[in-house]
This record gives sequence, structure tokens and C-alpha cells, in this order.
Amino acid sequence: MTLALVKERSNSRFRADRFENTVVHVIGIALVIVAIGMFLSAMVGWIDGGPDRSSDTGSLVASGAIGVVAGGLLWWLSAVPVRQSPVVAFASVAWSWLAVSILGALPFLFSGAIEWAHADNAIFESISGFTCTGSTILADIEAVPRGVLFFRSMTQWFGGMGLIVLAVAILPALKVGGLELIAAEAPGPTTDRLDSNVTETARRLWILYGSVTVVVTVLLMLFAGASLYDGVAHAFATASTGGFSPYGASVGHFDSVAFEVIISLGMLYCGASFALHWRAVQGDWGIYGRVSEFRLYVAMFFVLVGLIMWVNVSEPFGLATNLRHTSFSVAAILSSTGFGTADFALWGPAAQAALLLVFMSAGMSGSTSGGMKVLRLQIIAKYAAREVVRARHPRAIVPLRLGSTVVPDVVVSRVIGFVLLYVTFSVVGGLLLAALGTDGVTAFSAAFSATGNIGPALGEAGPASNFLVIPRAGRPILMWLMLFGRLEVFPTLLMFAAAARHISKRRVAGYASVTDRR
Amino acid sequence: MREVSRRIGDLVLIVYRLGVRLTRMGSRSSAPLTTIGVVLGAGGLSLIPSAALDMVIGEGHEVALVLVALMLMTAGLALLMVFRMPKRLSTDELYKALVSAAAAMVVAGAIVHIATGAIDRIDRALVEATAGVTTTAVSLIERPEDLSRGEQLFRSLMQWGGGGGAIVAIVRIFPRLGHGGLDAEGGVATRAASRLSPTVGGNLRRLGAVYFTFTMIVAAAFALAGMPAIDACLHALTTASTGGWSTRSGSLGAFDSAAIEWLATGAMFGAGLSLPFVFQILRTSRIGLLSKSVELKVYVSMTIAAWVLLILWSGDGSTESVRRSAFAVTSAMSTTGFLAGPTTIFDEAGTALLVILVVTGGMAASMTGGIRIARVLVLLAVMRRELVRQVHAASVRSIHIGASSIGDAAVGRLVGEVLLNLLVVGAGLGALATSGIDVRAAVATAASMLATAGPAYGSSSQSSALLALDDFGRASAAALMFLGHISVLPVLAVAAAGTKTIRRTYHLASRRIINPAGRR
Repeated sequence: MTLALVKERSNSRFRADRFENTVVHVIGIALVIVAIGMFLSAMVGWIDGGPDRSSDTGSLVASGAIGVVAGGLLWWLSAVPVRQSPVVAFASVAWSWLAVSILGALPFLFSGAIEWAHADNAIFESISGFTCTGSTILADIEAVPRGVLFFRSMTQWFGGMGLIVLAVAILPALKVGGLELIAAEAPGPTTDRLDSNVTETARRLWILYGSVTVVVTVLLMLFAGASLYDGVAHAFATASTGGFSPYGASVGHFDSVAFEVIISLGMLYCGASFALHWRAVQGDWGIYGRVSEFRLYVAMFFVLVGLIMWVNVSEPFGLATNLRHTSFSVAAILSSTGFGTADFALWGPAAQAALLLVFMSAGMSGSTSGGMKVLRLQIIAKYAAREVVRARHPRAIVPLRLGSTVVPDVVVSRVIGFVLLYVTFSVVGGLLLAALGTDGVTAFSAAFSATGNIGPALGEAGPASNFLVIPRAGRPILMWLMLFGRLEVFPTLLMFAAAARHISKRRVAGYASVTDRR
Repeated sequence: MREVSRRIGDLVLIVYRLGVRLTRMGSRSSAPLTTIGVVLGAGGLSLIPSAALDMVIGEGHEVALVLVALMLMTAGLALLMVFRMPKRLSTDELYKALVSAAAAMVVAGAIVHIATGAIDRIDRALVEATAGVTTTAVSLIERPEDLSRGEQLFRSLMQWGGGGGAIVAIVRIFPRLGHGGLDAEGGVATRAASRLSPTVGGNLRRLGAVYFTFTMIVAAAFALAGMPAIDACLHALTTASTGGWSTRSGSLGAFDSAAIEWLATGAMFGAGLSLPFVFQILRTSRIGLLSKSVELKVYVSMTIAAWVLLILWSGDGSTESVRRSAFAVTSAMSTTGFLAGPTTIFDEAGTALLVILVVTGGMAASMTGGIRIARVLVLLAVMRRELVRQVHAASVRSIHIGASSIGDAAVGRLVGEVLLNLLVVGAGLGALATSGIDVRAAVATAASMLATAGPAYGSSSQSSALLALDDFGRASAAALMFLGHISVLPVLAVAAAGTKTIRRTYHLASRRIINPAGRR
């Protein structure tokens, strides 16, 4: 019934009484989707009970109502034009993420988990959720109402596959231009289409994503003895590679090998490309072996585990504990999830240096993970190797290949631009944090962690700590870096371009009409 | 002044021609071995003044220095008698010659350190010599004031020679890699350094004259500021080359003179200027060209901005803090590495800023290490182009810096080299972190070594960076210095060629084993 209404509402997008603006329309849809999530979390809060049941449910219902009203109005009053430029697609995605992050902050404020005087902290927590970063400013997580914590995990689930992808999957109105919107939100240098139909592609991605979440939940309940609440909350954060846990000690709270193994496998699975998984589910299991990015991703995991175990030999724990903590931490960082079972900020410098390098790479393109992605690392390594060949043979024309596929120059160029911007902004962010009084290791690792949507950093902002150690003025920098990294650099840089263009067009039109009158 | 400069240029040309003539004595053609011969011969010759100084002052190392000089000259001459420079140099041979020349300088420097007893282990001597040749201001010798004057002179000459080698690279290598330097018309020209004169010798003469004259001016200025004459000369050699070795363990701060520190600040800033650009201005006397150069404007702006930020972040408003901040900024940007005091006085942000300045470096075709400003500008232009392409996918935009357009091939090489440097820093960070220092120090050391600056910012002295490392860490640091001074691309190109040769030899050998008679 609801879907039918939504479809009917969407199909009437060319009504004359609405103004055409993709940005406003997409923001409206995103707000409504998040509001629905808030109502679901309110139900969970009500059923799960607890001493704060009424305030918990009330805060979520109130926030959801605001979301539905604001989002519904924006959605109702606007329409998507038939043609839209890439700038508008980028702006739509970036502004909608910002809008839902602000809406997502309301439950923390209404429930009293975060004081209104520190509304910026609530926005930080919300942005960290939607961007699947997993950095927190909550000092006592267990004190937050259960429904709000459930919503906190759900923000990551929404952010993991992307709200826009979800919108494209369910709304025919976004069929036109939907690919641009997905491309603006999707992780990786290219957009993998699972079907010639954009809506079908988005739908398949969400079906697979939802299935993984269900499988992880069931496995956690069956083999690790988790409650439904804990299972779903951790499955949300695992499938989205977000890393929020309803417990301060994160996954370490359960102290269960089975729990850690399931979560580790889930993180590694979701750190790999969903396009590959779809093909594998269709029966083509050999696809994993044929894709060089996947081979490198798996190799990186095993090499890093071996390397860090080797440098951690001098640490005061046995081989089995070393293997357990190291493999979990590497899976958590490599997939950019950021769950913790051990405080790796206390490990030796070599282990920390290795993890710092992984902060930048993270998972595969087309996955839910953050970071630069393994594919981009492959491309820049091949590019650098090609320049070595060209240094010896200046006139040689050497195509850049990944496996048997020649990577087009346009993609290579885009990857280089991305990597340079990514590193530059992370370094500038780190410098600004250091200027605000944060120590060097914490500042730069926090900046790279935020851009890579990892979650914990090194130094004072390690897995056992929280981001209150960063000065208040520094947290907006991290918020921006989280969005910058999650939306893959370009949307956040181009989000103002559409508005500037719009204003400039209106000014030109206004000037022309004045001239005509004269 | 111009007449003096011309005379110096003629002298450089005579030496160059003599060297060229020497490289044509042998019968077998080999660029690397001939270059090694020249380097060993020149290294031996450079020991003569050091031995003479020790003899005059009577500090007792003259015999060892003369013996090593004779040994090196004999080895060099022997090589030159057998091998000759090919008439046409392929790119591979050029890179091989460059890398083997630098390696030969390192080995020669290590032999001298062992022979004089300054360092007792060969691996440590090799690291020390690498720091010298690559003009990096780190040392394993904690008290350089305990060395004889002859040894001090040799060490300074080693850095100065390393700087001279950089001029050869500016003329012969960098234009091939797409970062030849700055022309005088306000923009970057990738082959600028090879445009000064139609011949290689002419280019070397012109740039060598600028280098030599600059060294003499700095020496005179230091002496006038109250530095002892010998110290003035030795520090001038390491300032002009952006080497940064000092005769005192406290570096220039040991002289405790504001005048010397301000002079050094100016000199280090000067060393960060593009040599071809300086030559153009001196030759044409058109001061107006200064305002046309985009790179120079950025260099000046960055220096001033960093200076102000460092005062704001780490200073206490005193004149000493203002002076020390200016000194630290120019020392980092020119990658000289002189210290006016412990760098621990700067807070976290100040330290991070200095590391970023070290990575940036000075102008293209200058004596500094680091990425260099022209390349940073190109990288910024590449980023901007990609942003525009996101909006206009089919747009075709060339990269412009000022009035000059940079070709796609040059941009590709430049970006490739920067990416390679990033990968090398990552590997270096991993290697250094296993060597007993924390992550912060490992990052600072890796960046500083690859940029050939030297001190790890946040450390107390020039020797503390290397002394904090174990043997593996020092070897890694030496590799980073080597790669940073020569550029990563030529070294990797030589390694790639070597791998190919090994593969081919193995392939041929395995064919012979399988088919010993060679029958088809």
C-alpha cells in the first residue's frame, strides 16, 4: 500500500505546480527514509524496554515526525527535471547527506544523551554514523537509551549502501538520472552496473545488502549466543562496515571467539565488491579468482596479519591471543569498520605504522568500506611502474592493465586526481588539528581515519578512547573529512557549485530582463 | 662581479673539458665505469686540500688523507685508461652513469671516514657518506668539532660535490623527467635548464658559475658576521649545497650569533632559488622578471606564511623567537637542515608544519630536495583539472603554470614520480618504525630523509635522528636519502634494467643447460 502510494506520488513528478529542483527533491526523499528508520527504532526502543523507555521512544518519534514533515514537504513541493547535470547530481547527494546528518542528530538531543549546548557533538555522532566512520564522542555509551543506540546503528546501515541508492531502488522518479546519482554516491572509480536498468541495479544491491545483514544476525544469534537486539545492531554495523556498537568496549564486550570470527568474516565480505558477490550468488563463484583487486585484497589481509603478528611477538600475550586480536583488528581496519577488541594504539610502533598505512587503502571499490580502495592503489602502483618504463623508453606507449583489462586514461586520470585530493585534504586536516593543540600522531591519524571512514585512530583517539580528546573546534574538521571521504571527494567539493551556478544563472537572467525593459 | 663570475665559469668549463678529455682515453665503451673513474679521480683530488690543511695546522691526519687520495686517483685513472664514454648515451646508460657516480662517491667517502678513524665500522661509514653525498644534514658523528680541520673540509667538500652532482642532474636528468626548472618568462618550462645554452658544457658552465659565486659570497658574509674564517668557508660549502653539515655539534646555533643566524636564513633562502632563473636574472639584469615568476611568488609567499604561522603557533613574541622561526622555516624549505637550537622548542603544529615544508622543498632546479614548488603547482593544477572534468567530462584542459604550458607526458612523469615518492615514504615509514623509534619520529624521519633535509623535526640535534635507529633503520634511512637525492625514477629505472639483464642471463643460461650443444 505504502509502496503504491510512493510510486503514485513519484510518477506524478511533472505536475506543473511544483518547481523543478533535484537537490531539494532528493533531500526530501532522504529525510523521509531516515524518519521511517526513526519510527522503527522507536518501536525497538519500546519493545526492548529499559528505564528510559518513554523518553527513548518519544525522542525518536518526535525526530521522525520532524523528518517526515520537513522531508515530505520538500518532496511534495519539488520535482526532478528530465535532464540534470553531474554538478546537480553531486550537489544532491552531498546536501542530502548533510541534511540527514542534521536530522539524525535530533534523537541524541531529544533523549538527553547529548546536551543541547553540545549540539555539534550530536551532529558529529550522526555524521559518523551515516558515513559509516564509527568515531564516537559518547563517553558512556551504555547510558544512552537502547532505541537511540539502535537508531545509531541503523544510521550506519543506511549510509553503508547509500540512501540515494535506496531511493533509486524504490522510486521510479529517480530512474532518469539515477545513474548519475548512484555514481556520485557509489564508492570506487567506476560504477558497476548489475543490470542495464538503473533501478534494477540499485534494487539488487539492496537485496544483497539486506541478505548479508540477515545472515550475520542469524549467525550471531545461533553460534555466538547474541540477543536479537545485539545481533541486529552489530549486523547493521558489520554489513555497512560502520563499526558502531551499543557497548563501550565494542565487540570486546562479548569476549567471544565465535562472535569475533563471524564479525571478522562479515567485515571482510562487506569490504569486498558487492558486484562480485552478486555474480557469485548467481553461480559464478570463479569471479573471485579472476578479479585482481579481490586477490590483492585477500593477500593484503593475510600479509598484514602475518606482519603485525610478527612485530607483536614482543607484546605480552601468547600466540593464540596475538592471532585473535591481530586478525580481528586487521579485518576491522582493512574493511574500514573500526570495531575493536584490543587497543592497538598501545601496540608497538611498527604495528601502528602498518595500520596507519591501511587507514588509507581500506576495502574494494563497490563495497561499503571507506578509504581510497584497493583498486585505486593498484592503479597508482601500476601508473608509477609505467612511468619507470617510460623513463627508460620515453616514446613507448604502455597501456595500463589490470589483469587483462586495459584501464582507460580517463579513469586513470580521475584516480590520480582523487588520490592527490584525498591525501592533500587529509594532511591539511591533520595540520589544522595539530594547530588546535592535538598531538601529531593523534591529529594526523584522526584526519586519515576520518577521511577513510575507519573510526578509531592512533594516539589518544585509539579504540579504547573517544573523539572528545580532539578539541571542540577540531571536530567540525573531522565531520567534513568524514563526508569528504564517504562521498569520495568530489561531491563535497562540488556541492556549492550547483548553488553558485543557480545564483549566477538567475543574476544573468535578471540582468537580461532589466536590459530588455530598457 | 660579472667579470669574476665569467672567469669562474671559464674555470668550470676548463675543468669540464679536462674531464671530458679524460673520459675519451680508454678503448672500451662504458658510461657507468667511466663516470666512476671520473668520480674517484675527482674525489682523490678533493682530498689534497684537506690533507694540506691538516699539514698546515698540524692535526695529524694528512698521511691517511694523502694515501686515500692516491688510492682513489689511481683507481680512477685506471678505470679511465680502460673505459671511455660512449659517443651517444642512451637513457638507460645515462641513468646508470648517474646512479653509479653517486654510489662511487658514497664508497669513496666511506673509505675516507674509515681511513681517518672518524668512524670505525664500514656500514656506519657508508651511512655517513650517503648523508654527505646526498646533502642530508644527519650524522653519526656526535661531536664534529673533535674531527681535524682536514676531515671537516673533506666532509664539507663532499656535500658541496653532492650539490655539484645535483647541477649535472638538473642539466642532464631532470629535463627528461619533466621538471627541468623555471624559465625567466614567468612560468615553468620542463626543459628550462637545458635552454640556457645550446651545449651541455655551456649549461654546466653557467650554472656552475652561479653555484661557485654564491658559495664565495656566503663564505665572505659569514666571515664578516664574525665566524672564524675556516668555519665560514666550511659552512658556506654546506649552505650553498643545502647540505647542512656543521663543524659544531650544535650546528649554527653553537655560534650564538643573531647576525650569523640571519645571514644563514638569507643564504638558505637563496639556495632554494632556481639556478637557471637566478642566472637569467643576473645575465639580463632584469629585476622585473622576479615579479613574473609564479613559482618565485609562491616560494616567497609560502616562506612568509610559514614564518608567521610558526611565530603564532610556537613563538613567544621575543626577537629570538622571530629569528629562530625564520631560520627554521628556511632551513626546512631549502632542506638544508641547519639548526639554530633544538627543534623540540616547536609545538606539535609547528613541527608538523616544518615536516610539510621539508616535503615541499624549494624551487625547481634549485639545490633543494623535496617535491619542489613547481611540481606542487602542477599537482594542484592536476587536481583542479580533475574537479572540472567531473562537471565537464569531455573537456580538454592543458596544465598551465604561469605562461608555460606543461605537456601531458611531462605531467605524467611528474605525477608518477610523486606517487613513487609516496610509496617509498610508506615503505620507509614501515622500515623505520621497526627500528626502535615511535610512529611520529618515523614519519618525520622518513619525510626528512627522502627530502634530504636531515634532522627529524622534533629531535634535539643533527645526530639524534640516526643515533636513535638500529642498523636496519640506518640502512633504510641511507636508502631513502639516496633515492631522494637522485630521484626515485632513475634509480628504479636502473633497477628495472638490472632485473631485465639478470632475467635474460638466467634465461640464456637455462637454455644452455637444457641444450648444451646450442642446436635448434
